[in-house]
Amino acid sequence: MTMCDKIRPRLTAYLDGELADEHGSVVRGHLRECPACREMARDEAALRDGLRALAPVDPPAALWAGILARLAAEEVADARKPRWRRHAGRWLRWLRAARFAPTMPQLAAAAVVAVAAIGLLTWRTHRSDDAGHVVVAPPLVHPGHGPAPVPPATQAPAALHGDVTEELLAEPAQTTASYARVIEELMKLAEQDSTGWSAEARAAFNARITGLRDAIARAGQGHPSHLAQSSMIHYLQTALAREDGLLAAGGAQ
Amino acid sequence: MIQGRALARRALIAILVAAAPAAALAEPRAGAAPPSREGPAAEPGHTAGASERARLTIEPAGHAFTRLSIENPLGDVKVEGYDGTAIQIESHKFAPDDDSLDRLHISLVPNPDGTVSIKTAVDGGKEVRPVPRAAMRIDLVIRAPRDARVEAEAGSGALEIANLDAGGDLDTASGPIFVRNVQGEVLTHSVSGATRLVQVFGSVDAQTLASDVDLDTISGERLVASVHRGRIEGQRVRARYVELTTTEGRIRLEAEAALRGHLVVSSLFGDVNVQLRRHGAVVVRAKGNKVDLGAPARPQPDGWVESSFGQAADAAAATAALVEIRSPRGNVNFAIIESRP
Repeated sequence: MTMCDKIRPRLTAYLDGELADEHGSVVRGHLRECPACREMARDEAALRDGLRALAPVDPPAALWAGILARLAAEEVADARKPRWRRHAGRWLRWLRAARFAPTMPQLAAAAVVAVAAIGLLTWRTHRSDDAGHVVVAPPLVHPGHGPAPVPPATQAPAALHGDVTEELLAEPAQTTASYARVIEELMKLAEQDSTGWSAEARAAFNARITGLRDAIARAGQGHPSHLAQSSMIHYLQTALAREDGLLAAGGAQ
Repeated sequence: MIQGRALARRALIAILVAAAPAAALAEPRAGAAPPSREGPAAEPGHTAGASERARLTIEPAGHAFTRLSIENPLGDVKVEGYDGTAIQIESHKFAPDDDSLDRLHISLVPNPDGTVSIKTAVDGGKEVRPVPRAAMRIDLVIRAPRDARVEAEAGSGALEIANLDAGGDLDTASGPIFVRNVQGEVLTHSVSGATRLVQVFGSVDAQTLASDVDLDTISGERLVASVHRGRIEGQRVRARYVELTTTEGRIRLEAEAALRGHLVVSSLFGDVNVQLRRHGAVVVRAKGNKVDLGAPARPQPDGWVESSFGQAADAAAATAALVEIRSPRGNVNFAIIESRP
């Protein structure tokens, strides 16, 4: 698989600002040196800008019902496909997209269909690969207001300064920082106490701490990370209170 | 449309409680009451604004609900077990105005494995008027089948579960946790939310960083509680393995010693007070700044002292409970408050 093959499926998420910093940086770096992908990104951005400039369109309810049914059918069919076929399908879509570069007049002519399709594209972007864990809410029809695509609850809301969304986005990191502060506090106490430990106890302690730090790094972010940090705090507390008899045995279980 | 129904049967769709009538259409077996909007919210702390109540009942489609997963960073969650098979959800949203209220969403996803996921979220975007977090809220009150396991996460809101038979896993940032009359394994984590567990019949693992843990009537194989900065209070505790730990903060435990039981109570800086109801022989080992075991104690190597209660015969010693109490920088008090042979 070439770098272009890896980057192109991520362009939509990149343009939506949904890639994490490190992934965004990879895409940005590739676009700087790859004219073909840069062109594709430009087309995608032009498509999005063109659609934004259009007046809101309320398609008839029947059209929306049809789209929902199609989404459901495609979702079920896609979920039943083996993983390799799903990936192959994505590559084929991108290859087709690369051969067909839509122009603005074509986009304008297809406005109604495209407005509906953008919901499809957005929805597919967030669809889970695992049929057993699909957690994406389909857009709902609001009575009297036409179709109103609602972002799924699992999608991180765009943060707005001073808004509830900003505070919600910051919360997991704040919790992680709280756990990290306690870990450092306990590590300082352990450093003070370790002067009285045997060499064997110190080695056992250091080995355990390395393992726990690795577990935190592997856990990623959010709740799993907090659980891994909790384990380290519990070990440090127990080790400090129990002193080197337990440390020599490898620490608290 | 047939495929759409198949999708519903496999429970791979999400239903937004916010649009309950549409949800009822999407899931034929889900009954929903239309959401009712109210004028100025009557909730304390919300002196003016809009609020909305909605109720939704989800019937199981062929298989029982076995697990309930809830993520509500926006408010309280209360889950109460009952003898039915359906899940009944009552949501109450609060916001400064109707537009902001429309930004609050609740999604419900029943999965084929019997798990139901409930998540709350707020719409963002540059076009919305910024609203501080304190002004937006969603509270959830849920009745669930008694034998469903509950896994819930909240932020500053309270988490409460009661009358359940399959335990729970609860996690908050600063919100309090309350568990009452629950069987099965209970796990709780909180940064600064006070944690209270009453009548838990199963293993318990409770941890907080900066708040208190209260334990009342806990009976199970294993009880582990740890607090960094805060106290632990336990009464009517009976578990074969008990481990209570604080960094700073006193520990008070009133427990019943099980045969061959093992109680480890440790604090780095806080005082430790243990009162024990004894059935059979008990061996107590302690180490601290000042130690009182309520009986003559034998000095041991490394500053430990030890005392034995009950029959000293070999047969009794084999089944003796072991109590280890440590407070390197605090005081240790131990007493037997009831003795049975």
